[in-house]
This record gives sequence, structure tokens and C-alpha cells, in this order.
Amino acid sequence: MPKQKLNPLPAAAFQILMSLADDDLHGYEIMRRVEEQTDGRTRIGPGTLYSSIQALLDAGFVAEVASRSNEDLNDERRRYYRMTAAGRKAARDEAERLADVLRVARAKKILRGEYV
Amino acid sequence: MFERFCALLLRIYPAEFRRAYGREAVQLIRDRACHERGFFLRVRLLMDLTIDLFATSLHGWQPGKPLLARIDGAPRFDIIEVHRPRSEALAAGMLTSILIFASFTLLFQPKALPNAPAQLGKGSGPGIPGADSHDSAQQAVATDPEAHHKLIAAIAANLKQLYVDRAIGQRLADALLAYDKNGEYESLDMAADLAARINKDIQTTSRALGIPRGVFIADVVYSARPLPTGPPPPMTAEMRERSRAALLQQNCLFETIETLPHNVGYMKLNGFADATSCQETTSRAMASVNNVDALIVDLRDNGGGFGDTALQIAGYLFDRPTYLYDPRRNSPVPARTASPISGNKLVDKPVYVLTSSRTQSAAEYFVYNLKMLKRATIVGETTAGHQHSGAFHRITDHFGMGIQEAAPPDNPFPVKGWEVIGIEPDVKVSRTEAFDAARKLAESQARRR
Repeated sequence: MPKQKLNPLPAAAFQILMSLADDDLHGYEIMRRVEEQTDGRTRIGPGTLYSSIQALLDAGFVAEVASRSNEDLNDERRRYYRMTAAGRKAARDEAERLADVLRVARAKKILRGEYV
Repeated sequence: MFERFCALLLRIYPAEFRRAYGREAVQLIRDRACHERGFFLRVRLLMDLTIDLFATSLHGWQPGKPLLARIDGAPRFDIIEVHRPRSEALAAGMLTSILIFASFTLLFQPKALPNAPAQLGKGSGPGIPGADSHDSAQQAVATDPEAHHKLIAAIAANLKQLYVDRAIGQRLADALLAYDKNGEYESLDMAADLAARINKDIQTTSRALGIPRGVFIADVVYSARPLPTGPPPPMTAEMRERSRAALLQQNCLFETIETLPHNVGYMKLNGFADATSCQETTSRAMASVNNVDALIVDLRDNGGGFGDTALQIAGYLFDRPTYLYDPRRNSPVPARTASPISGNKLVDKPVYVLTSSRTQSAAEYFVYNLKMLKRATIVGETTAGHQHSGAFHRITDHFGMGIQEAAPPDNPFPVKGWEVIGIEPDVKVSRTEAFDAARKLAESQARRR
């Protein structure tokens, strides 16, 4: 398996971590959640999705779990993933970095309005 | 057929990838193929796979790729290397292109309607727990023709015995049995396709019998998971409290409430939460946009919920008690809004409602009534077309059906409902363009005021 480096966190890996913030999810759910949270702009294909997941697993940012916390939603055919504490910290660091970028963009008047 | 083709595409992915995640990737494609039907969505899926295949072949699975450049505290720029692509990758790309173009003839063939999600009466009506076309891949139905015949016979019997107009129920049942006798269901070996085809036949026959478009008749549902045999157990006080706490933590599904430039209010509401828990939150949300000059209500990701919260929000948009049509007889939702609301300033403000093909059920109730009353401009896509106004009956472990057993209330509006047809927007744009389109309209109106 190729090693994907996670410093800085690539966009796909960051979106995957964000998707796992609330629930344990399987691959298709992660893809749907990413699509939703990017307002339909990002649909991760299987290659990108699973190579990112593998990199996140290697880095200890996510863990594969046998069943999700809500057992009613389990499907034995699936592999479920959960964000670890290290993953949460990495996502927070990346979000803070992006917030800094936004601050710069606002200061330079590249972005306007309260809604961004 | 389409899924098999997509699964074939996966064979072009690097062997390492297939060994590690091949099964999951096939499942993911199957899930997408199950939910993304129609020409455009199928082409989009193929394009996504092709791009992903190239990205994986050329970028993601070569060891030793250098790190992306990073400067702390500054924007990041992705550096794309200029290495010559591997010859295997080029060959894979060529083969993929040939396969995609060759498959276009298949894509142009008419597809069955997608299976309707089973959420009848969500919130206040009879639900279908476990029937989830969203979460599970469709599975092959029993190939035994006898199983098909038994299923059609059971659906026909339900229509005959339970549909509100017995004569029409009989005609619908006869039509389905005739289709079955002619062998028209035999080739449908995917359960969800079979359900979709039966629903299409019910709709076609009902049009021929003079039932207006948009009226709910019956809806056959397939669930990959076994359907429960009885109603769900009543919620305990502890469960209710947990549910309430969870809703409040999610701000009662109000994702965003803000004021945009030119004093345009914007609220994104991803479901209509139970008013017993969320009435106050809804009041506060409406109060926070009370002084705007125009309001955008974003229901693009709203799958429905409780009609009483939809009615509560609609109450702010009228200056007198206003009738909203609810297709359910004996609905627990009051028929009229509680307008006028003291201190409310929204009654004469322009309202724009954003919709998508995911907008359904109680959200469609809200959209439909505001459109019929000409109180809002609907911007976006045609809604999903799920009234969820019938009673649900389990037929087999995996099939059930909703049936209109009681006559719906009289409908004073010219379009008689939104079942299957959905609600057409006034400004038709894609879901991703809807916000900008509505914002421009709202800003223009707000400036005039």
C-alpha cells in the first residue's frame, strides 16, 4: 500500500475526518456525508476514499470498528470507521489553519459579507 | 447491468487497491448505482469513476510521492508533478473511455423509477421502520417466478380490499395481475427495480382511470433489511427526553440562521423537528429574521418531519389564519396557521424557498402550500414527490406498501397533491445554483423596498 502523508492534511482526508465527527460510518456513508457537507461539490470516488482512509488508519487518525455505537444501524457486510482522539486533534488543527486563511482573505477584502 | 459494468471498471484499478478494498469499492458503487438513477446521474457516476480511476492510477497509488508544500499560517498550494504517466495507466484510461462511450446506448434506455423511500407518515403517521432504500444496497429478489406471482397477488389483494375507492382498487389490481400474467415482471431480478416498476404501473393505470396527477394512491416499498412485524414500541419518558436533548443540541435542525448583505435573511432547515420539543427554538429562529427585507428558507436537505413545525413557520408569513392543505385525513396538524403573530414583521416580505430532489414529505407540505397560496417563490429543483399520506402494510419480509385507505380531505388548490410528480419550482435551477439564484432575486427585491 502506498503511504500518503498527512501533514498537511489533504482536503479529502480532512473532509473524511469531518464526516466522522459525529458518527461511525461505512464507506458509502462517508462519501454521502462529504457530499452533503460540501454542498454537493465533492464526491469522493472509491480510489480516493479508501486510499485516504488507509492513510488515516496508518496515522492513527481513524480506527476500524467491528460495529458502530448505534448497533441498530449495523450492517455486517460493512466496515465501519471511527475518528480517534488524534484524528480529532488533526482535524481541529486543519480547521484552525483554514480559519487563519479566511481571516487573511477577509482582511484583504477577497471575501465579503457575514455569511462566509 | 449498470452495476456490473461499474464493477468491471474496478478491475482497472491497481491490484493493490483491489486486494485491500475491492469488496468495499464494489459495495460503494452498488450503493451509488442504487440511489443515482436517470441519465444524468448515471453519466455523473461514470464520470466520477473515470476521474477517480485516473487519480488513483496516476497519483494516489505510486509510492514515494513528495509531500505537498506547506507554509504554516498561509494558504496551501498543491504541487502537481509533471512525471510522464505510466503506460499501464494510459492503457487503462483508453480502455475506460472506450467502455464509457460503448455504454452510452445502454444509458439511453428508459430506466425504472427509483424506489421510494419508506417514510410514510413520518413523525405523526404510520411509519415503516427498517425500510431504508438509502442505507442498504438493493439485493436480488428470489428468482423463483412463483415468488413474483405471490407478491403481485398480495399487492393486488391489498389494493382491492383496502384502497379507498373499491372499484378503482379492483381496476388497479386487475391491471397488475394482467401485467404479471403477460410476464412483464419476470425479467426484473432486482427487488428495488421490481418495486419501482409496480409503482410505475400503478401510476400509469391510475392516470388512465382519471385520478389527477399528484394524488397518492399506493406505493410499494422494498427494504433490504427485514421489515418489522409490528409497530415500534412506544417511547419511554427517558427516550423522549434523550430525543429532546439531541434535537436541542442540533438547534432543532436549523443548520444556519443569518443575515446576508442587503438585509436578506437566510435560514437553512434540515428537517421539521417535533414542535413539543422545538416550538421555542422555532419562535426564536423566526424572531431572529423578523427585521429582514426578504427571507430565504433553504429546504434543499429537508427530508420532512413534523407538519406542526412547518405550520408554525408558515404562520409568520400570513396576516390572518390561513388554510394549509394536508393530504392526511384526521391529521394531527391543525388546518390553519396561527396568524397573525404578535410583533411579527414578515407578513409582507418576499420569501424564497430553496428546494432539491431531496426535499420531501413535511417539507413538501410547506413548499406546496406556499406555492399554491402564491406566498413564496420556489427556487431549485423539483421536489421528491413523497406525500407519505397512506397506511402501511407489510407484505413479505422485504416488501410492504402504503395505501390510501381513507379519502383525502377536499383540496381547494388546482394541483391536487405532490405524490410522484413533486412540486415544480418557479425558478428551475440545480440545487447547487439555487442559493445564488434566490439571493440575487431577494437582494433585488430588498433593494426595491
